Amino acid sequence: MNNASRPRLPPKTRFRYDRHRDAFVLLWPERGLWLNRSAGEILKRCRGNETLSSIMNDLSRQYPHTSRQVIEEDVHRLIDDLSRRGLLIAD
Amino acid sequence: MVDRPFTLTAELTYRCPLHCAYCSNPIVYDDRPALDTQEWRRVLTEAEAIGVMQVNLTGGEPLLRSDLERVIEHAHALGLYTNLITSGVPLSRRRLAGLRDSGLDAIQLSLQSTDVALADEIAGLVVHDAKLAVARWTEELRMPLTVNIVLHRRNIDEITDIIALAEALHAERVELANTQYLGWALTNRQALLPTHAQLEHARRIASAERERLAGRMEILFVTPDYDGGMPRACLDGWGRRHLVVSPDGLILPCHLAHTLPGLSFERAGTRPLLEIWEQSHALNRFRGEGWMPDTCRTCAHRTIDFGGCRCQAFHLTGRLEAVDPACRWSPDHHLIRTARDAAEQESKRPPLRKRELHMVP
Repeated sequence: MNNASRPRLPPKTRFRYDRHRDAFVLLWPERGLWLNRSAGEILKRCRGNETLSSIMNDLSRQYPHTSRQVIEEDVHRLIDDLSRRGLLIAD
Repeated sequence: MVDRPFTLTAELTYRCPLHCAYCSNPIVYDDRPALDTQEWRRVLTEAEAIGVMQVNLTGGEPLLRSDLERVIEHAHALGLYTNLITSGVPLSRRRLAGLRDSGLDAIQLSLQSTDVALADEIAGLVVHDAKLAVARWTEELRMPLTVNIVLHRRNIDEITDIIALAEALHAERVELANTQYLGWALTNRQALLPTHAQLEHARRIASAERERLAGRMEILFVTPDYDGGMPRACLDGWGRRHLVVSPDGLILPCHLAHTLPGLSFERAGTRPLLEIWEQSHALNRFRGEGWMPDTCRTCAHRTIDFGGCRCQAFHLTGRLEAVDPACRWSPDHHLIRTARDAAEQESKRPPLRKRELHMVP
């Protein structure tokens, strides 16, 4: 994975908002993973059409009070974690 | 405060063309009419409204219902993640494409073995090649596939081949589910129980393969509770996250709870689902820790296994509140140990009995 990769969700997953629990959730067969707000904001952008750097630029614009370093760390941590679990494709 | 359910398991019918020796569905059913399309759509609407996000469409064999597409369309319109749990029989490529177009998110296909003769013997029907065709269609139609195989002594040694087959079929997930010795499977227990060495081997391979395939294919190994001395956290606890609706509309915590005596489960549509979920006496019977025997109530594992499986406890001991005999601290644990010891002796192995269907609603 590098900043030019375009992360996307694999076919088995579905990403949506859960109005009952007021959080974004990633669904796949027989499982669900609720995401905190920042993870939800990141995954919203993982549609396979945006590069990692453009996703991070976008988040920096949306959260001007969060340092770029924190955003990069958050994004990389989430993407590494989900990729390892087969819940995100970032090649 | 009662948790809201996350998963709905909709058992659309008990009918099934297969006769799997390991089937854990109830042996005998009440002869009541199954819910019709409208009633299922209402169950889905109500379930979504109280917090359900996922629906497993299962049975029996859900493909036997000609209104399956309409049920899927409704689930999809509600935003539910919809997973079809099927034997793949009977199915044409055209109908599969139709299921996809109705909004199906994923399909879980059962296989019985990698060996065609053994697979057909276990299923009690010549179906293996037809199932492989279904698996290939899912790939052509770009439908996410889970390969499910119920493990027992006759097929558990094939585990490497099973995973290789799932890989070759481009499955996204493979579920290696050790047999649950309930329902019909309990009558076949001694023919199905693997030896300890077989289980250890399977566990080792599954964990090495999980490592090798990390990020590419998800490998689930459903732990055999007969072997480890720890009961299963049956569906994450009675009436916690799973809502099961039987073909005739009973609101259940699991697919066998209506086989327990003295519990009267309510039917969908008789009052609002939320009221049933929160107030049904039968659903509240084994929620929380109040019902637990002292062995469980004082045990550190009670928040992990929630007191084990009530159906297993009753069907093995005849007592509803018994400690699940799978637990090493159960006074009835010898029931499990005796079965396991017998499994180590080849000479004590009875023949496999094909599933028979009784009183289909």
